[in-house]
Amino acid sequence: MMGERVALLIGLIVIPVLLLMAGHRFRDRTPRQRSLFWGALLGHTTGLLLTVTLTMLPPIWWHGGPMWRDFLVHFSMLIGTVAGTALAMARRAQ
Amino acid sequence: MSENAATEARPRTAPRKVETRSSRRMRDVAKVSFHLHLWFGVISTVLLLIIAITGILLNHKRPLGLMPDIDNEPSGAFEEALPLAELVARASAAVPAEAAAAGVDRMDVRPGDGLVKIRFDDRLVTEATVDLNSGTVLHVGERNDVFLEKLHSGEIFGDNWILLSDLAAVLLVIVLISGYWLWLYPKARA
Repeated sequence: MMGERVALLIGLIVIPVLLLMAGHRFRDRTPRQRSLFWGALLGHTTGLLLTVTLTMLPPIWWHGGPMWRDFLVHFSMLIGTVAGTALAMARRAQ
Repeated sequence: MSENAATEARPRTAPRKVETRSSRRMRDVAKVSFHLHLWFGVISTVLLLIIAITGILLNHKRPLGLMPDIDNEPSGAFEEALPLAELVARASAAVPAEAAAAGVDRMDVRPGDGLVKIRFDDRLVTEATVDLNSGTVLHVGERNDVFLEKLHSGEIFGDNWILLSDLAAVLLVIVLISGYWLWLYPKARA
């Protein structure tokens, strides 16, 4: 329970702050850093949309319902960011 | 000769504007406003998105079918209404076993409509609408708006999470004020 709340807070506040910091003086960043930034940003945005959708559809409390919904509500933004960064890294390595 | 020399001696660049204390202060405020607007805007995005969407849904909860809307005429005088315990027993028999086992959360008596809404304390927030006089169960369904209200306030995550909703509201106010400042004094930041 505590872990999922922490993951949600990281997705809600910590990741946007880190992305803002990474986006500061964006023109001075190397192509690799820019690519990782875009990967993380797109991943987080996808996770964000998933979180917002799953919190309200269906409009019933997720706790006690399907496990996957409970999990995705809390972890989507975190997983999205990590997956987006990893994808960008893999694409860069090719 | 002396006139030409005087012209050449004059600086060719435009005279520098003297920065007064008030213009410097305006520029500082604009800089702070810009950063507040940017950072707080990004940080509060998800929270405000959820609060805004749940707010719109709650405003239209009846047409969207998020709460039942039962039309009923009183079938007798309010003084002749069945006892509350009897009404609860009838409602408990009509709802799923899980809801009945969770117990009654609250009862909303509507003498004008001749009905009582009995809400159960289960995960789905089941509600039974019962006629006050005849005890007929008029409707059984979920109260989705209760869940959305809790999500809107942040209460669904726990009692202390309403602070997150407060934080989003404070951030929104700061974003609005800083945005207004940047709109009024766009050149102050330059």
